[in-house]
Amino acid sequence: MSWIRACSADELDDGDALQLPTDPPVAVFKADGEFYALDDTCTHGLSSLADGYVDGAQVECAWHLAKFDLRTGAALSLPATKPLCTYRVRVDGGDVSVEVPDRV
Amino acid sequence: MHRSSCVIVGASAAGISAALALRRLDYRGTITVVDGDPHPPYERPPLSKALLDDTTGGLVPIVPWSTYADLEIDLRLGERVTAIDPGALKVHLGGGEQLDVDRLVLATGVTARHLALPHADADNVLTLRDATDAARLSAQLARGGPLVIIGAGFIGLELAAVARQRGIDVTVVEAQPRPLANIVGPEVASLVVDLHRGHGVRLITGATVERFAATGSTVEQVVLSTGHRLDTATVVVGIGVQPRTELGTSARVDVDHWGFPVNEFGQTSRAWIFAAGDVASQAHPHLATRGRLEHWDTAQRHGAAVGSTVAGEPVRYKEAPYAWSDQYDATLQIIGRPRGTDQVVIREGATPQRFLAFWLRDGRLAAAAGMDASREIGIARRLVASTVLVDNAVLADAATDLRALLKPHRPRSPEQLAG
Ligand SMILES: Cc1cc2nc3c(=O)[nH]c(=O)nc-3n(C[C@H](O)[C@H](O)[C@H](O)COP(=O)(O)OP(=O)(O)OC[C@H]3O[C@@H](n4cnc5c(N)ncnc54)[C@H](O)[C@@H]3O)c2cc1C
Repeated sequence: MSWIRACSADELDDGDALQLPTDPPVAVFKADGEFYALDDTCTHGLSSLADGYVDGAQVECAWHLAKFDLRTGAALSLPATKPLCTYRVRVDGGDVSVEVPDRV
Repeated sequence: MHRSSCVIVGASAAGISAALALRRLDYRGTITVVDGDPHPPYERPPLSKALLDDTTGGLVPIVPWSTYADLEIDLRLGERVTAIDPGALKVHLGGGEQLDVDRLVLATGVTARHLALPHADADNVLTLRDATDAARLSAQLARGGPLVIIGAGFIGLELAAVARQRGIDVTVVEAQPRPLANIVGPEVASLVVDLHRGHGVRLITGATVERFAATGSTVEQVVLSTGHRLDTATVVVGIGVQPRTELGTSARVDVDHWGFPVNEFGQTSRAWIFAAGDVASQAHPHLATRGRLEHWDTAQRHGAAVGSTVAGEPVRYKEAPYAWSDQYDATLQIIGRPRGTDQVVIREGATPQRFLAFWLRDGRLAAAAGMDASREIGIARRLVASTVLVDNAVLADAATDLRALLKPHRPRSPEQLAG
């Protein structure tokens, strides 16, 4: 695992997300003032969760409307049944960094 | 003590969601889900998005197989329900067995309509509804084209895309002047037509099949009302569906043109019998008249609402319908049901590969459709659910951030309400 810089803290508003070009891609979300980092690819339909709709600490997949918990990665509704991996986030000065898996 | 027993007919989107909702709400009775299809419950949408022989890993389960045992949901697969005896409170299975029932959910879906023509049952004339159909179609298309698709609905167009991506020669025949126009209106329909033409699909509109020319049990030519004679290796008929209401007679529940008429809780004309999903005839707030909603997400949500009602927590089903359809590399998504009387707004810069369309009714967003615009569609879904007044010029402006339209209408805090 290694830490990479994702964005500056003021780049994301509540409800915003961005996709990191890592392998696998990781999405960084801001919800209710907190930053979260999870796998970007929905465990059901392969869409990018950074395109999803953030509501409270949940993101809804933009294609088939599965919901995930941003804090734990848990799949909260069909059609998804498998959880997402979550990654550690650090806000340091004005920078948001994420600990991502090393490329395999 | 007598244990209550819920029987669900149909182990697909609506039936399985109903069973899961029952357990989520701690329903204590037995739950039996019966389906004539022998395969463990699977998602239907992927069947028209790729061929089954692809490296896609076969059928996509609705939930992991272990879920059923964990939740004590008894699946009776490969068994048909042949009759309901409302007097004796029994469900009759094809093998002769009878199940006790005090709550029945009919989630029997629809079947594909066939053409009433000689040779419509030929070996190479297919419909696509279930896993068995998909396997047959995959085997048939593995031999190459030409492929003739009768009916340019979602499934027909998705298959056209799949076949074109494999280099198969495809002709789509549609009776209407424009495919999908009844669903998304002429403007969006034209964009979808251009997308398919751009990928080399030959589309013949305003045409019906006059006859099939066959040798033995194989159709070799499709002859159209327009005079076209199309050589073919495979014909797929996608001309609509029929509700599976056979059980209505023995159950003695009302049946109408669309299916089993239900109230907003999914109840049929008999209070302990419910219907959910494609087979339900609903007076849904997003439908101009009573009708069916035939989409995976709507069937799941309707099933879950009915399951909840059966478990003792009544849920009215009235959310805006949501449908998606994969076309080549993009997803077409539709929220709500556009009406001919709505004001249509197409966002600036629309191309067949990427567009966003809105339908306004009484100054509010009633429906939206997008190609490769899923982020915006997620927000449009909230706008449709809200009562926000929207302006067509603002919607048409490609620079508008849709989320900003939603923000002033977030639920107000107590201070704001007091002030
Ligand atoms: C190929 C295909 C692709 C699709 N793609 C999309 C898509 O991309 N997006 C979208 O939103 N929707 C899509 N749909 C539509 C969606 O799949 C349906 O709306 C959904 O499956 C409806 O679910 P249901 O549970 O109501 O009924 P169904 O899925 O039709 O299931 C009904 C079940 O009941 C069983 N049954 C019926 N009668 C009996 C009986 N007497 N005894 C035992 N079992 C019985 C049947 O075997 C069947 O399994 C697609 C449909 C098909 C066929």
